[in-house]
Amino acid sequence: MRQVYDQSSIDKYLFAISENDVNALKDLYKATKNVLFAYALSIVNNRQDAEDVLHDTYIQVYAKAKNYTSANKPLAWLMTIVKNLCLQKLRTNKQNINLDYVTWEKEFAFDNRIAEEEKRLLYECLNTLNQEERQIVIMHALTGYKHKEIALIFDLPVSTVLSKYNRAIKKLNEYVEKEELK
Amino acid sequence: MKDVEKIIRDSINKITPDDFNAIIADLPEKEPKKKWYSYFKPTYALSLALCLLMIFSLIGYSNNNKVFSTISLDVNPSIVIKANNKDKVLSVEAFNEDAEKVLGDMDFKGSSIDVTLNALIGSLLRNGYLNENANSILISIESNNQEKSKMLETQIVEEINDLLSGDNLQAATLSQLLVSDDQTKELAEKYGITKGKVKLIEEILADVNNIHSFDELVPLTINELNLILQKKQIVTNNISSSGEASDKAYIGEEKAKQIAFNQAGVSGDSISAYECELDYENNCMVYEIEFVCDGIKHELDIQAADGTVCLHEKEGHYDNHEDNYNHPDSSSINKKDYIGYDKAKQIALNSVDIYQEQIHDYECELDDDKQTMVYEIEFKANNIEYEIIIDAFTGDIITSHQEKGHDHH
Repeated sequence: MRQVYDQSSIDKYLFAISENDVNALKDLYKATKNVLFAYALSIVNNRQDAEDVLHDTYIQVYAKAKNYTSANKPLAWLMTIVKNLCLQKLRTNKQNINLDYVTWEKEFAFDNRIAEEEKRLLYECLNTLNQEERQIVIMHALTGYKHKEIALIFDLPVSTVLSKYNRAIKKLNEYVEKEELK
Repeated sequence: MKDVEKIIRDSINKITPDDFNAIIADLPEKEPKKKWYSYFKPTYALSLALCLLMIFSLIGYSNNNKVFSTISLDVNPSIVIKANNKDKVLSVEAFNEDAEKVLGDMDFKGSSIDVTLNALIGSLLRNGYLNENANSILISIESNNQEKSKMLETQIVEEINDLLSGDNLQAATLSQLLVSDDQTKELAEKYGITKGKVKLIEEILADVNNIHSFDELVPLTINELNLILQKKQIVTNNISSSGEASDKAYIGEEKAKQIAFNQAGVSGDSISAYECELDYENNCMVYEIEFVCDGIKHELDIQAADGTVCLHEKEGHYDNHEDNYNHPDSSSINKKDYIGYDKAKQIALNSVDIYQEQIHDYECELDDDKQTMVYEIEFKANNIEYEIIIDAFTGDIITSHQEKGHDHH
C-alpha cells in the first residue's frame, strides 16, 4: 500500500521531539524512515552510506528539533537534513557515485528479502535516471504526493516535475519491457 | 505492463533499515527540564552557602577561565578556538569530521594562540586541506573588545600568510570581525557550521545578481565560496580579502571554452557576445559559457573539475522549423504556428477516448521542453489522472501517462 504522508502529524512529532520526547522520535522514525532512506539512496547511490545517513539524520533531528518552526513543510525540513548529511558523506568519501551492478549486487548478497527483479529495477532507477528524475520518481512512489506537492518540495515548476517524471517512468518502463522480452 | 513505481516502493520498503535502538544508543544526552526550586531542599542550604563562598573566592581565578575571544578557522575543516583575556587557549573544538582529523589528539589547553595556530595550520597542510589547489581560509573573530578583535585579526592574517609562504603557498585569506546575533547563531546551529561561514554565505546571498540559496552554498568549501566572491566580483561589506583564491583544481576558462565550442559544433571565429563565468550549479562548480552563433544563443555549463558538459541550451530557432524561426529572439516566434490550446485538448482527449463532458480539473500549459515547445495537459476523468504532453508544432503525443487518482468525483 502506498502511504500518503500526513504532514500535520510529522509536525506534531517534531514539536514533541523538541521537548525531548523519545517516543515521538520513534513515531517519526516509523513514519518517515522509508522515504528518507530512499531520498538518501537517490543522492549517495550506495546502500551502506544511505543507512549511515538515515541513522545520523534522526540523531540530528533530536538535537535540532527546537530549531524547527512549522511552515507546513516538515518533510522538506527533514529532507534538508538528509541532503546536507549526504553531501557531507560524498565530500568526505570523495568516491565515484557511479555504481556498477557487481558492487550493487554485493550489497544485497545476504539479503533474501529483495527479489532479483526488484534489485535490478532499483539499480536501473538509480543509474539510468539522473538525480532529479530519480528523486521525483522516488518521492512520487513513496509519499503518494501529487506532482504539485513534489514541485513545492523541490522548488521546481510543476511542468518540469511532470515532464521529468514522465520521461523517467518511460525509461523505466522501456527497461522492464526489454527485460520481459529476454 | 508492470507497475514500476510499485516495484520501487516495495523494494525500498524491504531494504530500509529498522533499527531504532541503534539511534537511541547514539542520542545526545538531554536533561529533562526541571523547575529550579525542585533542587532546593533544606539540607542543601549549608552546601549552597559553602558553594557561594567558594564562588566568591574564585572570582579572581575565574577571569582566567572566561572566554574573552573566539576565533574560528574555516577551510573545509571548521575549527573554533576559545581563548581568555591573556590569549591563552581554553578550548579548541572541531566542527566537522574533517576538523577532527586535523585536531587529532593534540591538546591546546593553556597554550598561546600563536602556538595553537601554528600547529593547526601545520596539520591543515599535512592533511592536504590547504594546498595549491585550495588555498583559501576564513578567519572570524569575536571578542568583547573591538580593538582587541582588530589586533587579533591583523596578527592572525599575517601569521597565516607567513606560515603558508614557508610552504611556498600563496594564501587567500578572508577575515571578519563577528558581532553575534540570534539569527546567525540559529543558522549556524541548524546547519552545523560556524557563525563565520554563515556570515560569508550571507555576503554572497546579498549580492544583487545572486541566484543561490543558503542551503545550496552550505556544503561548499571556503575556497569555492571565495572563488565565487572573486570571480563574480562581489563587494563584501564586512569581510576583508587578501590573496587570490586558487582555481588550479579546475580545467581553466580557455579549455572550457574549447569544450563548449566543440559541443556546439562552432568555431571561435563565427561567434559573438561571448561570456564566461565560474559559478556553482547543481552541486558542482561549472564554467557558465554563453555565446551567439548564426542567430542562435547557446548556453553551456561545463563542469570545472573535469570538463563534462552538464547543460547545453539553445535559444532562437527550432530544428524542425528552421525556415520560419531563424530569429535569435525567442519572443519573435510566431505563435500562429502552434496548433493552439483547443486543438491540443482535442488531440489529448481523443488519444485516451474520453469526452469533454467526462473530465474535470483540466489544466493546459504551454512550456519549453528544451527540444521543442509542448502543451502539457493534465485532467481527471473516471477517477483516473491523465498527464499528456503534446508537441506544440506537430500535435504529436510525446508522453501519455495515466494513474488511478485519489479523487471522489
